[in-house]
Amino acid sequence: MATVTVAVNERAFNDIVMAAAKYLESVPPFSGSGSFGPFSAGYTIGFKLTGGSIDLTSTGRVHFDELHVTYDPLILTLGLDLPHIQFGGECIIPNPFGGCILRLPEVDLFGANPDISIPINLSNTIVSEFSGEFTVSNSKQVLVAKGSLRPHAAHITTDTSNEIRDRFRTIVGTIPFLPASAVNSIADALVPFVKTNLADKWQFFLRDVWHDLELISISDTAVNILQNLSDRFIDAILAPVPSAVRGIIKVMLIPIFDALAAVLDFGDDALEWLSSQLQISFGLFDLLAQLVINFVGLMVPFYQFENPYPMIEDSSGLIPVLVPIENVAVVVNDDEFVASADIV
Amino acid sequence: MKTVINQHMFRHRETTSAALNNLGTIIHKLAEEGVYTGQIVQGKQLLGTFRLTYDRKHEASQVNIDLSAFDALSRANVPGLLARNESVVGQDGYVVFYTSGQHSALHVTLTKAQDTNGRPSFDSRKLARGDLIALRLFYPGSYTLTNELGDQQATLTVLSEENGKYRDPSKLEPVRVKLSDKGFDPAKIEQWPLQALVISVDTAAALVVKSVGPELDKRARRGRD
Repeated sequence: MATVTVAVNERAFNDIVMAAAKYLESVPPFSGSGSFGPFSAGYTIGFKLTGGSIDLTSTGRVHFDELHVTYDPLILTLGLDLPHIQFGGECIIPNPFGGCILRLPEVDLFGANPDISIPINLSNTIVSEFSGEFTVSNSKQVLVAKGSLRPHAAHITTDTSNEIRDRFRTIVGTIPFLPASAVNSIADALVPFVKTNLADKWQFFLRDVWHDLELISISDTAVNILQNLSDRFIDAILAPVPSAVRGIIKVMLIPIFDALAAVLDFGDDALEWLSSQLQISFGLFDLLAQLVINFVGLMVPFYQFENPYPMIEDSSGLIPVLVPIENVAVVVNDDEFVASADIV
Repeated sequence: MKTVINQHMFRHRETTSAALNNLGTIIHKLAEEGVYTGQIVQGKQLLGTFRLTYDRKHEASQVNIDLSAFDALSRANVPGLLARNESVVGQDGYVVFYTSGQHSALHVTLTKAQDTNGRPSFDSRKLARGDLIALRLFYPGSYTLTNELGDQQATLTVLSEENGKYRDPSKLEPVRVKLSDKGFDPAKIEQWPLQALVISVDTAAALVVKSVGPELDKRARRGRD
């Protein structure tokens, strides 16, 4: 029995893993909702990965360093359930013994149940940073759909089963906070990167040890949008009011405007405010981090090869030379990712 | 974005008590206990009818009747708007007629059920002694207030902002005016937008409020000059 050892240097390993990580960008934008203060809010979010590096460490772990996540699209739809504001109700005949004999009727300033929503486009204006450490693990994928197919038949038979899709849906479905509507679309988007033929496969995954995802930068455009949110709400509420009476209606709406200002006042640090709102109201960073963890740890392997391995593929129509591989083991050190296996 | 503010409120700048819109509220004090039939008419079209019982022993001293609620279209568009086809009022028997919608040219009659002559005991087109009318104007500017059934007239100024700000209407007491054969007292009235102007009627009256100047009329720009 021969043993094969393959070593991949840090740079090549970096390229392999980053190429796999790019699959995450295929995840279609998904939507959800939450609430903060008097607001209800919905979001539609997708992301792109840029920058950062992946280092191999002497502890046997793979270190993701400052992988940048740019949100595109990022559309927040802030809704505000306005309180009813009434005027009138003045007492015009007081009761000398207390109370009131006759009052004018109260009239509601709002025609129906008052609520208002404003979409805010923050696409490409904020960036998060993902860092973390992972161990490398390997496992063999054996599809039930292969049945009794011999290795050569499995090698040339396209996988048309739903096994991988269903497994992905189950894995994605375990992510807390993720809206049900997004589960299938995310899982389905990643299936093509893994699904090939019915042959068994050795797969290599990164298992989470620790991770951190935080908002690190916000563009001036986004700060400007957030700073003017109060005004946008006020303008939207007052839009149907003729200019000649806008001043007096503004006076009546002061309690609403004060509440808006209190919620949207982020002082000097828009980044901290937005970060806190996105996390608290939507659990957005937990959700995205968990998506990354499930993606690299359980769903899409950063590398996979068939077992038996097609050592020689013949394009002239002859059957390939397949070499069975067992006892695959992986080791990470400062310089290399090393995989060893027995050829049986 | 949903349009939330009731735009109908700002539709009218002028009003008359004989053809009521949302700027006016008419208050009638019932003289006799009994059952009344009310008719709400818009222009020449009957909008709805209601039954009103006046029983002094009943607890409520007033009943508010929103005339807009008798329009099926309004009821369909405004959640919670219900036409009160049966109402009861007690104690001093105040009936308050107002409209929360866009309607205009409204008048109301009350006819006592037992009256054999069938004549209304109250017709909002001809207010009488003891009735009250409350006006609430939105637009700053100059107006005339005229009694069409007499020759009484008053000037009415709805003030514009003072030092860039309006007074909070919820903190303003109603302005009170008396209308008698001799005229309006006072005959020169000032009020803030949305401040109630309550006119006590002591003679036959059909009041007309007419705008005579733009909303930023110089007289209305108190505080800027």
